Amino acid sequence: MKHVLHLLSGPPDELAAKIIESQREEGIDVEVIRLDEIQDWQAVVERVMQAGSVATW
Amino acid sequence: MSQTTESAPESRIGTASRPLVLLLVTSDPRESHRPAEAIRVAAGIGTWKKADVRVYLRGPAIRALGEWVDDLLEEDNFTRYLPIIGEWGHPVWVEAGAVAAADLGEATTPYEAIDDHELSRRCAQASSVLRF
Repeated sequence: MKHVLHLLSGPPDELAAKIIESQREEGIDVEVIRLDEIQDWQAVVERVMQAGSVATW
Repeated sequence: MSQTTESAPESRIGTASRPLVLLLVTSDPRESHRPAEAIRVAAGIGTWKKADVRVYLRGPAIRALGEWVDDLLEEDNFTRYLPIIGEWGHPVWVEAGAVAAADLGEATTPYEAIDDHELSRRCAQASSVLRF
């Protein structure tokens, strides 16, 4: 299954929240990372490299 | 020429050999330079044929497709680069039911209206989704 990674600069706005929720309802493997809460940036890089789809908001 | 293709949506986007890059444009081109920049970036990336590029316009950003763009910031980007995007053979995607779509006059680029559910599906198909 394709892994979809959403990178958020803060809390999701209406559109981002809607897309994420809809993808979860579709059974898509969704991961959300809040960049404003990140301490381990190397881990973020690794998640991006592993993701099949990356959305930046 | 204005075209909508709601009855014949793209069933397959992107290819195994080329990543799909989707630009979501939601800011207001009357107040922000970001929509014009998004169109310039889309044309720039797509021209290299290394990625399949799609543009989605939402809300006031749909004004970029309009016959009259004089009141939009950096309007030259729309008149210069939208025809390039139109030549790629697939429509620009726009928010279904958006009020702005009614005021386009003769749209300069073919477009397809898609609902939010379809947008989420296409976002998942993309390798990269960039918000402007």
